[in-house]
Amino acid sequence: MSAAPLVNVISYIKSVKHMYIVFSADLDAIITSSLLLRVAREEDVEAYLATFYEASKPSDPGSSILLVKVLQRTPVSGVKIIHIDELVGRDPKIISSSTMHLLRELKKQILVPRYIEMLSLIAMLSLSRSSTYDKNIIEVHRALLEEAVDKNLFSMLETLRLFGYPRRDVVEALAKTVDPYVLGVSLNYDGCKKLLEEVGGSLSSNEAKSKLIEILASKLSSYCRSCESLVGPKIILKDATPIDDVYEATYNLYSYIDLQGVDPLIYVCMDSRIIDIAKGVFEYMSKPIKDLIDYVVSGANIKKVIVKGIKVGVVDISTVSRMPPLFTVHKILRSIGVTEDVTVFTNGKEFLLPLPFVAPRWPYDKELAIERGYAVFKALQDLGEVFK
Amino acid sequence: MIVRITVQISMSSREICDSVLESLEPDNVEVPKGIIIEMSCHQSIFIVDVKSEDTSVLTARNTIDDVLVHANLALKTLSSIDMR
Repeated sequence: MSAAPLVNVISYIKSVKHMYIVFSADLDAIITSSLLLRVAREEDVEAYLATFYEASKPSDPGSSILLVKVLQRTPVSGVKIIHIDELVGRDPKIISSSTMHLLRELKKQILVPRYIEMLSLIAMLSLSRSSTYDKNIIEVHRALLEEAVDKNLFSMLETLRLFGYPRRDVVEALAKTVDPYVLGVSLNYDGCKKLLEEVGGSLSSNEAKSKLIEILASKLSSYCRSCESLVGPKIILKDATPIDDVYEATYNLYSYIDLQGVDPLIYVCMDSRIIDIAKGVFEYMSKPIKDLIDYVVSGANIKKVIVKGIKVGVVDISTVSRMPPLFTVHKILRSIGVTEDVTVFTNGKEFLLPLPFVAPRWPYDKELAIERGYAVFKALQDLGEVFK
Repeated sequence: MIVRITVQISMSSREICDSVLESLEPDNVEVPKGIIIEMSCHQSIFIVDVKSEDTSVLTARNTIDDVLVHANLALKTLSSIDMR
């Protein structure tokens, strides 16, 4: 999976007058770019960042552009292009975290704060195809986790997979858990309180724990088509500041991108308050998320269609009063197997495609109508041109 | 000496207040030794109560400053979601 980098990352940053970074709109690429920005600032190198759909050719001749998980579409004259994979020894054919590769390379030369290591775990989990507990993700990154991440930062425990558990109060852990999304429990404090009463008021005994797992599994079995086990290995951070739970933080950051767009997140490696604010954003959107997921899971406002050979779930959101964070909703639905690898949302007039689904190529030759964290299309067929 | 500072901020809704509170949970704010912070929402009023024991007045003031900067950031982000 990993090879020795062709160019040393710090040497590269020091060698350029200005660093131009063009990045993909997925969480891993954003965190990688943010980390590069942080290092560039520490090295007093001016860095300019843009997403692949916004980036234009730099005006200074002979400049070098660093592509972060972006494919070069056509040759660009007068510009030297380098891919992040060449700097960090990542095989682009294998889905693996560029952030974690970058972290490993940086740690060979500089001190990296623990907060960045925590972010690299989020970057890794964000690559999961369905649930963030997807065991393949850990499998693919096993060697990198050993090499790049401090062993004192986390432990892998066999435990109940609830956000913040076992550190957090059970009712709160149940209510905040959206992977897996349990109808009547997730984002529903009253439902959680009732459930805890049903199992005896606490999880102090193994009997109560088993009963809780049994009830949750029974609820999930009625609609979950590909659920990860409720009990299994889970990354538990040993020091919970500033991130309580990396699985939860992954969803919080998805919703932050959905609602604020990609740009503000570029500072996530410099300011840990973004993580806290993303938590607040998720909390603020919890009702629209809950309303839509409940509706999709219990109703039939999802259609499965094939667009240019790709299976797509189309979710009708024309009845929602507040726009939910779309990619977050997709990830929640995907983690329970209710939607396909790609979800498109329709408001009745247009089709909304979350930005992480847009194939990252540069220079970008299409006009995208972007609002918040999604692109707007008039017809479903138009989407086939831009899919990842 | 015991110093106590209470700040009340009126927010546009209970929902916004709860979300700001979520962003500011005490474990998210670095609390200096000798300082106790309590935060809550009373309807849509966000209440921050900072108590300081055997620390300087300046420490208490800096703590409330940190909380307010953080709250302002969270509030601006949440407001921008509704404005779009």
